[in-house]
Amino acid sequence: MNPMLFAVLPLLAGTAHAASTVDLSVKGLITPMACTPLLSSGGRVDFGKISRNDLNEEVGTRLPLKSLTLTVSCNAPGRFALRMRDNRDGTAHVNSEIFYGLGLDTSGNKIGVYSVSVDPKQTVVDDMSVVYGTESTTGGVAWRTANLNPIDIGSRSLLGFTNLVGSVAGPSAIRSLTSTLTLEATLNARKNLDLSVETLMDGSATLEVVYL
Amino acid sequence: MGMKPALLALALLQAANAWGADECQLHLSEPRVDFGLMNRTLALTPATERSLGERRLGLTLNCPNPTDMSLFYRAMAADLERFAFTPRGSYSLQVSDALLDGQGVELGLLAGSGQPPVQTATSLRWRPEHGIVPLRAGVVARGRSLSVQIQISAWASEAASQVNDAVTWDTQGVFDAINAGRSRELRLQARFAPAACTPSLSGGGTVDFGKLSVMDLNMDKETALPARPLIVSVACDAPSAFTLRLGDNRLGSATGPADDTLFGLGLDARQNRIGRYRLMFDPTRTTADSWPQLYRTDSATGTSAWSSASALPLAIGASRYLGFSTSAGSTSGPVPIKQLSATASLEAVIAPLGSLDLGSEVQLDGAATLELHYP
Repeated sequence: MNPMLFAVLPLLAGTAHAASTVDLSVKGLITPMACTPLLSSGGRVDFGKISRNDLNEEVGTRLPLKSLTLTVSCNAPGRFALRMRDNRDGTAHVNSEIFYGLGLDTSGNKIGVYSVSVDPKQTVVDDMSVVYGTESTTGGVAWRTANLNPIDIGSRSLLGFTNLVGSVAGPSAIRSLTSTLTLEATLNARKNLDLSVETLMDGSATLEVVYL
Repeated sequence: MGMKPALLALALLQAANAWGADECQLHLSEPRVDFGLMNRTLALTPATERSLGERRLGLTLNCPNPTDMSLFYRAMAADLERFAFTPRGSYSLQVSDALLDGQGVELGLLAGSGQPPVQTATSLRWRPEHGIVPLRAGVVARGRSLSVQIQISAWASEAASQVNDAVTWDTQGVFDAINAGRSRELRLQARFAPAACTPSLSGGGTVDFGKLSVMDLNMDKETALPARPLIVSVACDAPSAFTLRLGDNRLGSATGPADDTLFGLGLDARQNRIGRYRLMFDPTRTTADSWPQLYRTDSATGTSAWSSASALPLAIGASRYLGFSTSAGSTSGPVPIKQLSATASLEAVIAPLGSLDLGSEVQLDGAATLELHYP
C-alpha cells in the first residue's frame, strides 16, 4: 500500500502551491564586432549667419544643401545598420522620424528642421562594385527591396547596404563604408519666429551603428 | 387505458412491501445539498467569515403505529451552535413548521434520548449533539407522521479564500430516528472557483537588448544598459486582492551583491556571470481601475505583516510579495483590483568585459517567472 500513498501525496502538494504565472525572458548578445562611425569636420555643420531678410515671411525657407562624409570602420566584416537619434527631440515643426529639430528661439518657437540623406550611388563599401540601399521599419525583422534610391536616415527605421540588387535579406556583411551624406535644412516661416534677437540654430543628433 | 388497473395493483404491492408490518420510513426531500460554486473575488470587504447561502429541505418520518418521533442529527460539531463544514467552514440547521399527523406542533430540543426538552419553540436551532421531538402542550407527543422544514445555512472562514485552486467541500451528517429505527444521510457540498486573475507581460514577456558591441561596453567596470519598459498587466474576473512575486530561473548567475531582487543573465562559455537585472515597479507609473493613485506594499508571507504603503519605486523579488494599496501609509495589504497596468522598468547591468570570455558571442539569457498570488 505504501507506494500508492506516495503516489497520491505529491499530487496534493502540487495542487496547493499552484498559482497563475507568466514567464519573462531577457535576451541580448554581446558581439566582438566593433564598428566606429566617423563624420567629417567632427560632424559639425555650420550655416553661418543668415539675415532675417533672407527668410520667407509666409512659408519655410530652404537653406543650401550641406555635405558630410561618413565612414564606418569595423574590426571585422559584419552586418550592421544606421539609425539617428534626435538630441533636440520635439523641436522639429514637422513631426516625422526623418526630420530633426533645430531647437527653439527665445520665445520657444520651433526654428526649423533638417534631414540627412544617404545616396547609395555615392557610397563605397569594401570591394562592392555597386552598393544598394535597404530599410527596415520593423527593427530588422523585414527589409525592403534593395535599390539605388537615396534614403533619409530615420530615428526609428534602420538603414543598411547590400551588394545584391532587389534583395530583401537586409544588409550584407561590411567591413568599411564611406558615403556622402546630404543635409537639408528648412527654417520655419518668418511669421512663426521671434527674430528680435540673434537666434542660434542648435540641431544635434547622434548617428548610431546598430549591430544585426 | 386498458393497462391502468394492472399498474395500480403493482403500485399497491410495492407499497405493502416497503412499509412492512411495523416499519417506519424516514425521507429527506434532498439527500444532497449543494451550495454551488463560490467565486472568491466576491469577497470585497475583509470579514472573519462569509455566508455561502441558505438551502431548505423537508424531512418526513412515517410509521404504521404511533411512535416516539425523536430525531437526532449526527455530524461533527464546529461549536455549540454549528456543525463543521471542513475545518474552514461551518453550517447550522434551523428546524421549523413541524406537523404531527397533520397538525401543527411545537418542537423540543433534546440533550439526550428520553430526557425532557431543554428548549421549546415552533422554530429552533438544531444544536450539535441534540435531538428534536414534537410536543403537544409541552409534552412529548407520539404520532404516525411527522414533517419538518429544515433551513441549512453555511459559512466559510476568510482563510478559505487563501486557496489558489479549485476546491470542493464535501461533508455529511446522519438524521437518526432512534425509536423508529431509521436513518438517512445528508451530504453537503460547496465548491470554490480557481484563480480568477491572469498576469501578462508586454512583448510576450521578452525584453531584447539586441546586439551589444564590445566597443560600447566597459572593459574594466560594469556597464548599465539603458532601462527598458516592461508593462505588467493583471486582469481579474472581478476585483481581487492579489500579490506578485518574481522568481529567478537563472538562480546564482547574477553579478553583484546577494539580493533576491537581482536576477541573473546567465553564464558565458566559461561559466562567468554575464550580468544582472532588476525589475522596478513604480507606483506613479501604475494604474488600476479608477483609482487616482496607487501605493505599493509588500510582505514576506504574502498574507500578513504588510509594509506601510508607499509611492516610491520598489524592485520586485522572490522572497517578498508585492501588492498595491490605494491609501498611503496603509498596512492592511493589497486592495481588490480588477485591472492593473504597471509600467515597470527593467534595468540590466553587464559585467566588466574583462571578466568575460569574448572568444565568441556572449548570449544574455535571463529568465524569470512572475507569479500571481491571492493573500
